[in-house]
Amino acid sequence: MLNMRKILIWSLIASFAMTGSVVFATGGSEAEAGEDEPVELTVWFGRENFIPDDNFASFRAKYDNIIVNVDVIPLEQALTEASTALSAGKGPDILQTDSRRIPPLVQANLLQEIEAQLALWQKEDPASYNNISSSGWDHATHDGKRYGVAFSAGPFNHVYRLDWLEAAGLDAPTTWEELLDVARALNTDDHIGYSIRGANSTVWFSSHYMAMGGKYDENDVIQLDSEAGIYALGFYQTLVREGLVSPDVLAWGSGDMRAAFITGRAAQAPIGTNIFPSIQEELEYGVQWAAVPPLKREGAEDEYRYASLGWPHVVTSASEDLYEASLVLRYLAEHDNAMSIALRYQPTTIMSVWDDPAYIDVQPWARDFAEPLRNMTRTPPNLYITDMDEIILDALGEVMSDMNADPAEVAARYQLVLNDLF
Amino acid sequence: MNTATSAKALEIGTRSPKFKRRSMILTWVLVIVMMVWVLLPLLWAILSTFKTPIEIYRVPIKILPESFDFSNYVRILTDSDFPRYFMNTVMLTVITTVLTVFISMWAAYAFARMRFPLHHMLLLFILVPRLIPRISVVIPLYRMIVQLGLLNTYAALIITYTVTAIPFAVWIMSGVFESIPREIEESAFMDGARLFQTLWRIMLPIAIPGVIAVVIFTVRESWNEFPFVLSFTTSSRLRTLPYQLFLFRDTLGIENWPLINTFAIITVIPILVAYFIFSKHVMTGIVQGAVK
Amino acid sequence: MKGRTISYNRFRNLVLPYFLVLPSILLVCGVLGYAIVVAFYDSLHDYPMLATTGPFVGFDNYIELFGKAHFQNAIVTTFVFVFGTVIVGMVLSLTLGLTLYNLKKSARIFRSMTLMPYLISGVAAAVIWRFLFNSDAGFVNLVIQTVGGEPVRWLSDKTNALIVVTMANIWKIFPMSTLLILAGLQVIDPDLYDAATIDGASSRQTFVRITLPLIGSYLSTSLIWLTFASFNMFTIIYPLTGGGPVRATEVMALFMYRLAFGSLNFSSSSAVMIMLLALNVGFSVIFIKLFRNRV
Repeated sequence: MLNMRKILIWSLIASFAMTGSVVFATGGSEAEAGEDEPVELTVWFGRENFIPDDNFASFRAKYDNIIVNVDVIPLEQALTEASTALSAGKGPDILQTDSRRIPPLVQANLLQEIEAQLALWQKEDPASYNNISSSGWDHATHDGKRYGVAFSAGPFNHVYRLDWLEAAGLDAPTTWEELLDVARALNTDDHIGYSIRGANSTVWFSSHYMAMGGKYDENDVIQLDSEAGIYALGFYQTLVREGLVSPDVLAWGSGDMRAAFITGRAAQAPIGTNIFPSIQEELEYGVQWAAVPPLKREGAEDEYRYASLGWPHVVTSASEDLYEASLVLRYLAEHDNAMSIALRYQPTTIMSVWDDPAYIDVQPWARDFAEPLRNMTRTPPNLYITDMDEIILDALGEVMSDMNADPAEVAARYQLVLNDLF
Repeated sequence: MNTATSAKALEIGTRSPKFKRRSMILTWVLVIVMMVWVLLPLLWAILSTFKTPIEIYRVPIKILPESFDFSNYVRILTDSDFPRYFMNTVMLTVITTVLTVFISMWAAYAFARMRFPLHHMLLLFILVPRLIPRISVVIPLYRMIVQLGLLNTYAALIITYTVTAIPFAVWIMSGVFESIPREIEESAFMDGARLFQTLWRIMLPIAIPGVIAVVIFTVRESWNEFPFVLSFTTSSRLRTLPYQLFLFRDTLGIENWPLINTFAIITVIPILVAYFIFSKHVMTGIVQGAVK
Repeated sequence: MKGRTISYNRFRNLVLPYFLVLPSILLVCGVLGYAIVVAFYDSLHDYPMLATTGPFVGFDNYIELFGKAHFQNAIVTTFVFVFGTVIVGMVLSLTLGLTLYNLKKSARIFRSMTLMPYLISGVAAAVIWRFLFNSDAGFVNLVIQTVGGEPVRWLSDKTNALIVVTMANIWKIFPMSTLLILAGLQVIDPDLYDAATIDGASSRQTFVRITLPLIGSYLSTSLIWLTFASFNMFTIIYPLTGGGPVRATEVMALFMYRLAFGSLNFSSSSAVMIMLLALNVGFSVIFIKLFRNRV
């Protein structure tokens, strides 16, 4: 009985204590780091898959005065989380983001440029520094200053069923018009001519658009109301109108799009290099399927650009230990670490990996892509990337769902909305 | 299938035997149709866990998997981090549930038994905040948690889980307390028992079904909670099962639905087991608790 | 002895209730209430992207939102979604509630199974429904084709997608309202039915005159539940359709999420949240008043 009462009183006290802790608690009182204490760095990765197999084991062994905390913050979440955490002084030292979102981060003073540290890197370890492709630096640059490095950058490519084309006596397409012809020829009851996703992500569209010769203006705004823009919108509409894509295309995400090709339900598709290992599990490269960079548009061959997306690691304004941060970047640039990611996920910007026989052995397409991948163009970043994306998707959704919509008229109308952002 | 037909089915035992049999058949038809509606999606998901990722996308689809393959279950259960995510979820759920019951029973008792100024207004203060979408409180709460220095701590999750569970708990438990005849506790008071003793030794045992209902619903909320753990933690040390389920979706180029579904099923099983053990009490709890 | 009782009672009546209620109030208001106050404050300011400071602008954010075609679309979609759920969900809940009530004892296992959709997480539910209605690999089209029909485009058609999303939502949240109604039915004194039958009332009359009024408070609770759960529903729609195709399933909760986590505009997203809260409170009050007058 006495026990019962005790329990009750304590539970009530606990209730109050907890309430109090919420209502009255003040800022956390973390111990201030002393001078001789080890340096602590927090590194955010955008996907579990971007973490090297080694998972910093060799780094920790080498630098016993640096404590590295590794966390995974999904790329979609990273911007919001980083901004709130950084403005409260609790953010990471290095974070990984989609390179298209660098401008909002810079604008909000959440990043710091590390040109000085990079110069030191070049001096101390030129081999590792020079092993990074221009694209690796490009994806982490804003207004001519570098904020970090992208160790992974990848394009979308044109993949197609080599065996089906050969059986039908068709040549591999080299232009978008030829792609449409192949799609028409190979569009049967069993499979579709081309596999694309619905109007729910802009990056595939941007890849098409840039290959078709599309330009971005001085504010990095897409020019829908241009020859290439109208052609791109018309291309998507033609695919839907002629039934060359899935009737379900509007609801398709990247998974549906890729799976259709992998399971033999599509003759062609725009697919990133990171998915090639999954295709290879089902089909044999060079025999059943083949891949080339995106095609060209007739008459706009000179404006062709091979679009790439990048996921740079950038140094935040919260980081006080810039040299140690640069050591983390150097660690990620190591051949073995970069290769462990490239083997299972996105292509690397560490060029020596592309010549590694062990790599080519696992990824037979690597030899064909080593050269084109050196000439990729970063998909332009933008301060208002989300708003811009939404407008593009609205335009794309309109031409893909309304067969009476005139691509030129749609392009002109949405261009005005796009220009209004600035 | 409208309410009038069910209303017809309502009066068993008052009409002719023929009518009785007909309405009983109708009742069973209705219950079977409804159970198909309730269970079919779940069965479909369970069957998918035995398929391969590519098999899911093949056309024409097959209902049964090519072979009953348990590799998805093995893969998840043998993952070296699974025990940690599991224990995190269990710990957060248990602490949240215990705190919720202990904190809300006092308020529930007061609202059920006592008349005092601002009674209704205070009850509204507890119930109304629960009406906002969880996803929308994330940003303001994030700032508060950062200021309290609780980012990346279990405390941040325990506090937010508990406060979102309290309104429902107060509501159900005060209904349950109200349904208990006053004479019972009055006789206890006559015997000189204190309020705390009465509440603990007399009211609570009678109210057990209501408490179990509260427990089951709190467990459900904490077990499945996603927006808060996504926003208030960044460390994999604190990761829970729903967060891991979310991260799972993006690790492969094509969604590995069988693996995702397997994970989903595994996370649901503990809740369902708990529920089936106590389902009788849960029902009684709702019957008593939802009077307000 | 008597004196002690009186002072004890006075203490009990005056101070004790507040003392007992305080922990709950402080926690709920200190955390959730605080979030609402902050959100309301934010909604009256104009914050630049990613920022949480900016000039006071009054109700400009609200006015600006109403002028946006996408927000108007979100409002219309929300109301179709919510009322579709409430109407169909109520019919299903009443049907299943009455059916389970009729089954008496043998209903226990069915009663237990009924709650299962509610217990599983929203993401898991969305995953399952996406499967069922996949045009190529979905169960529903498999059934349609087996009986000789043409496969239907579910998630890629604007109207069908909204129907699927609403059905998934009903599936997820109607178990709760069913149990609430069943709870109400079990409280009714069975003698009342006998009396009505003896008086020669038809089953429809019995239902309308006796059953409905007696379970009035349970009905209003069910309605409030279905309404607020639907207005707030995010965890099913987002993984199921992402608001598409072409914004056909973009409800206000999703619109708010896009503003906050996509456009990083924390002041406008707060304005949407306040409007959702106002809608929830408004409809709850209406349902309570509606049924209190009847009873």
